[in-house]
Amino acid sequence: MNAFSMGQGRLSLSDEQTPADEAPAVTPATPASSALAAFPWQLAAAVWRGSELLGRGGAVVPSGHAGLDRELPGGGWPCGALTELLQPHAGVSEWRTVGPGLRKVVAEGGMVLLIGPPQPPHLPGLRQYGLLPERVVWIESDAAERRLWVTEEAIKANVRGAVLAWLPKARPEQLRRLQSCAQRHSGPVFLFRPALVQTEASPAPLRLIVQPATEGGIRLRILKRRGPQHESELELAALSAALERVLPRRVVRPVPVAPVVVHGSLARTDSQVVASDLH
Amino acid sequence: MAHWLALIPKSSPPICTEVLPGGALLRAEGGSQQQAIGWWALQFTPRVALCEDAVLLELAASERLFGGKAALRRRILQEAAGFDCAARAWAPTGMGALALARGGVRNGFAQPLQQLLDALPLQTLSRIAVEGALLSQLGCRTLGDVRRLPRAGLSRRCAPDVLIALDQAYGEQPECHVWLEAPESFEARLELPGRTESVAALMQGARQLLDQMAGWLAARHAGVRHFTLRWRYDEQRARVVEPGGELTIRTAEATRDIEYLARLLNERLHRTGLRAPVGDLVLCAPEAEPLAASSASLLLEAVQQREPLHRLLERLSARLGAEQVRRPQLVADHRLEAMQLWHPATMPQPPVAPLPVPVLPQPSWILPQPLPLAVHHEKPVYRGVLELLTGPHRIEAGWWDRRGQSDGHAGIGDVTRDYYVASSPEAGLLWIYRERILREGDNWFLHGVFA
Repeated sequence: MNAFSMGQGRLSLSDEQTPADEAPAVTPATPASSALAAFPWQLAAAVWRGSELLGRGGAVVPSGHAGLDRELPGGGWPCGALTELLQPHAGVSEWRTVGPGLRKVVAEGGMVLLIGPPQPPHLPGLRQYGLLPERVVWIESDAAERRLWVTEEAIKANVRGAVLAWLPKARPEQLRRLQSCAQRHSGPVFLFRPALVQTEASPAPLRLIVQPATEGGIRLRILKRRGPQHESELELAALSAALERVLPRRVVRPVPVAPVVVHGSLARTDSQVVASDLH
Repeated sequence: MAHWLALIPKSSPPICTEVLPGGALLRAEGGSQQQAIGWWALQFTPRVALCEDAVLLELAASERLFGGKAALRRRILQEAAGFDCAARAWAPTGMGALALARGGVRNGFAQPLQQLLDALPLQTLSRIAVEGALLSQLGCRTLGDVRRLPRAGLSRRCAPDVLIALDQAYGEQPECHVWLEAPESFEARLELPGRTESVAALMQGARQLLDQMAGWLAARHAGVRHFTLRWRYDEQRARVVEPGGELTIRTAEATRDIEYLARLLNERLHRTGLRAPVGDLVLCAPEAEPLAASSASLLLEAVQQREPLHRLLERLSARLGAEQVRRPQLVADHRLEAMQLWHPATMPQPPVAPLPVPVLPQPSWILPQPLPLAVHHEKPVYRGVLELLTGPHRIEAGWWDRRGQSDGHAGIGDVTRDYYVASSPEAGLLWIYRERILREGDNWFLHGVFA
């Protein structure tokens, strides 16, 4: 099932949550095509087309990056599901990626649980993301099995807030277990893993690969999401305000918010997808 | 009508039939099981007495509170199944219930009490059993036979309290008992059936003690915040092993949830381990805190299942060790490594005045030790040659802090450094510094990462 969902023309039917399972939206959707217009609106609302992002899944936490929110199903980090963030090196761009989203989690009274971070977290630096000292817990464990256990317990406990776990050695079946636990969790769960595992199957419904960009920003590629495949690379400005003040102007260059490569954008219709694939 | 229950724990010694020289009846100690049942019973009624080898409960006043006579009986029997009870009986009098329990009759309300008691042998009432030799010479086999003897003659030949005991059992004279009171602090001891080195076997014993503590807490309508388990190692232990060990379990909130406390204790015991076979255990809880009962909701709750954070952290600390689960405290200091302290999460957090957000940029990761960097063409190198973006930010502080020299805390103490933001193509933005007091070798250090 996962191998299938990794494929090129992936359909979201392979995910746990099919659109047909969901309750029909209360507001009647405006039928986009004449074929759908023939159906009653409840049915039309339940039909999902391959070019759409699955935005009706569940609660999300806005990521704080406008450019990224546009590409994420539902418009933010999913709650009650794993989000896998792959990096070439651990400890390079975690906070720039998830930090702006955590601000909202903490502001709403949530906790941030850090499980096995690669370096000791530096609270004075994390305060720029709104992390208050009384809302942060750092759980250190060297053994991979223990870390998995801690992550599972933290997810199961369903403490209000976000779980951030560094699990470089987790196997797919272990992640599947975490994913099934995470469905009852009310906040986002971020797993940080090395970029090498991107060829492995993963049960996480959202997978991204993150790299530092030259101007203090980050470059992101969405490897897997509920919706059409994302082929371009996003470049996000992610400098904190304090750094922006001190860095010279040539470094702090405004980064285009729109995707750098237009190829594979969401505006394409199905026929265009077919046409481009034929070339 | 009074409503009595007599419970006889199984481990009790046989009825004592000796009379001490002073005439007082030798008090037969039922042991810790009797005590445990007594404490447990206190949650149903304040009128609990430890009488000879049994526990007597007077329940008439509590019937309404617990939803009627039948509901109360059901609940008591259900919970009493956890204890090892050899016999029990309900009756309108306390001593009558005790006699019926010993005689094997369970329900003293089925027939008039007098009929039931008349048929019982002499040994069922211990005060009568003391005069058993005399009474059997007079031809008495049952309590009914004794009652039919002329009272005047009997009171002349026996001690007067024989007749009083008889009358009390039949409900013709008021009974007087010394009511049990739960003590202020709990301490119970248990000798394990055999010497054991396994934590699982020790835990079984500890579980019995915890159940006793649960009874004590129920009696006091309270919870514990901390308790201590002590154990003594066998005399045959190796010489290097200390005579015993102890473990104190603390929780953030007072609780009476024995399952949860047992889980914490189990995790901690597994981590601590036993160094020699253990003979006996002592569990003590110095104080109980009043516990507010949680009120049931009238509405169907749609709230999500959440475990309170402190419980999660306590469980994680019990498994991993208290030092592994940490919460931060900010400190007003300019030195990077002295800006925060991490405390075990289970410790009460000290109240701190909020500090202003620092104006200078601060990295989000800090290295445990500054990492010396190689230098290539006078430029520091870390996963590629570093480009210095901004700086220097001069930090010069800590001249008053002599810890660095005295107890080997490398790095903390007097620092004189120039910090720079550097950019590495692979590692992103870094917070590096150069020692201002030049020494031999490298003077560039990596100290943090703007992740």
